[in-house]
Amino acid sequence: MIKQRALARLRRWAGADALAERLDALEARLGELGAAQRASAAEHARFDAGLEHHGELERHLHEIRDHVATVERHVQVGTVMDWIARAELRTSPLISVVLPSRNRATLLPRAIDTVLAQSYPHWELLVVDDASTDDTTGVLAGLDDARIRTFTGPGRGVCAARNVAIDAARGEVIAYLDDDNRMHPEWLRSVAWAFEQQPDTQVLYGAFVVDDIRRVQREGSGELPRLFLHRWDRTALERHNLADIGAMAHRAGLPEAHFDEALREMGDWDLLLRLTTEATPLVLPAVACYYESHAVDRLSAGPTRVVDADRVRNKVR
Amino acid sequence: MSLLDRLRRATGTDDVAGAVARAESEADRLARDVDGEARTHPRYGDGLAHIGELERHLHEIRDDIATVDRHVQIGTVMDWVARVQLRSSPLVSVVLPTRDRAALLPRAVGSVLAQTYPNWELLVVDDASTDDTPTVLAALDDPRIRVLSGTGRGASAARNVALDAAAGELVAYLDDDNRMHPDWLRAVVWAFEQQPATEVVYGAIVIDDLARARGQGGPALPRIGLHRFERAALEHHNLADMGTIAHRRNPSGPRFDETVSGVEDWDLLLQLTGATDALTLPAVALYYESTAPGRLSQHPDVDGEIELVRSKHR
Repeated sequence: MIKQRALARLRRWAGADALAERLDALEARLGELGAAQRASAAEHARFDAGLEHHGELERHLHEIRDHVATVERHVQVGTVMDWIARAELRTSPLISVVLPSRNRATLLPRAIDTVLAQSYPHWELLVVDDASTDDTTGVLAGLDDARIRTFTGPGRGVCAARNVAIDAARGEVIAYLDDDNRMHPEWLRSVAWAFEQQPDTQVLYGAFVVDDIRRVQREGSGELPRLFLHRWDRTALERHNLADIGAMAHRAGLPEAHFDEALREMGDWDLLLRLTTEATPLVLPAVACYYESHAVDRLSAGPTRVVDADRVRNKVR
Repeated sequence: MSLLDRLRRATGTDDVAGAVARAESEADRLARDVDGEARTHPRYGDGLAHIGELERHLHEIRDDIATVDRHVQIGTVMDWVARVQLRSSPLVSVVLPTRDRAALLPRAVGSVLAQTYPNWELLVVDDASTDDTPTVLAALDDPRIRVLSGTGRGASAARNVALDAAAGELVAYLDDDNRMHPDWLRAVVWAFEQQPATEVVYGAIVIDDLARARGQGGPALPRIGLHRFERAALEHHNLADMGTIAHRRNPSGPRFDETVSGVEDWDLLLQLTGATDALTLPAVALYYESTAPGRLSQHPDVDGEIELVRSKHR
């Protein structure tokens, strides 16, 4: 007892009790501060998540901006086509239309009719019968417009057939059509107008309408007709094609304007890549052609798709 | 050195006191930090709330663009439909109920006669008109027009009379105060040809003055309307006017609910889309004029009917 009391007095005298109280208080305070810090960290985590989300919003915003630009181009198609329909052309260059065909005797007349129906009269149509075994010869023999010239292709595919026509073309400008598509009646007029407006332009591409893009991309079906007019972007073109062959046109005599005969399906993409190595193409907001996904044996659904894509990409790598 | 000092040094009390003091000032510093951070929280919180608001705006804008996109697509699809070669030519029955609109009716009938697609029958149901309507109908001389007598029990019952008599594979509708777009029946045939699994389509409507049509005053200028199909939205409100709807004709229906006379198009679309979605067809179906007197969609009990339709399809 006496010893304990003496010890207590000694503790007080040496200030140990006061220190112990301060330590208790300090402990409690640190506990509170710790809790406050954890709460703050949780808030920060929330803010960080919010900021990450902000980045996502920014991506959405970019998508929306691209989408608006696309819609704007589509609206401009109406304006430009209206302009061209009313504009007076100052020149009338001969336009050579290259049309390769094989075993599409039932579809071919429709394609040819859309050339005959052009509001611009100064064209020549070069139909290359690429070794058809159906009635194509009969169909071609029945044509009686002096502006149509028919050729026999070597049967080595659409690219070689197009080269036959390019070599024989007399026009100042070359345009294209495939046998399962239809040309817009104002397209050749649009092409003539555009090259007249822009003397330095060597290459252009217009808009095309696809009836069911899902079927074309082999992702089922059920889509309704849509307009496609991609903005010019060489980097994007190096990854994928931006325009259908029927939407492309270029001045005649360009050394690059030759199809790679090793390609089956993607000659159009390869052509646009070659033609735009140096030059920037004009994106012409006018409908060039209508693309139907119903035709049988479409090349773009063919077996050489992957091989072709690799070959084209390898060239620009 | 006093005994106390010596004792303190010997027991280490001084060192401990120094350490406690340092720890206390450290705790003070920590408290200031925590406090300072907490003061920034409202600012971050505001920032987050602002981001949330931006997100809502972004969604609104996305919807707006989707709408503009649909409107632009209308041009593309109509151009396509005008040029495409149809692979089939099914008979289309056009259902047109009328009552006491002798002055307007010829314009509506004329818009059917002007269709670019020829294989249609027009079923005009005269719903007990007391004006000159019988004379107007008697003067029509196109064999594709059939005149039927309604029971005088309203437009829904009159449309059922026409449905019972219809022979077409497809059914389209027109009201006597509207005009059909000349390529509409062609667009309908093309759409059902393209999409064999589709049972019902609806197209776009052009309204001369939407504000007046809704009874909200005016004046406004013509606008195009084409809603994206979404069943949940349809269960809440109508997405398509009567004259923009077309469907395959089935023996099992649909039938018009004869107790409904202002929102029967909504009821019809709900009936037709219970199992399958409607196709939103980006093509102009009709021109809607808000100037005709006695329009049904303005009748006094339309609010009660809206509740009725909602409760039926809930």
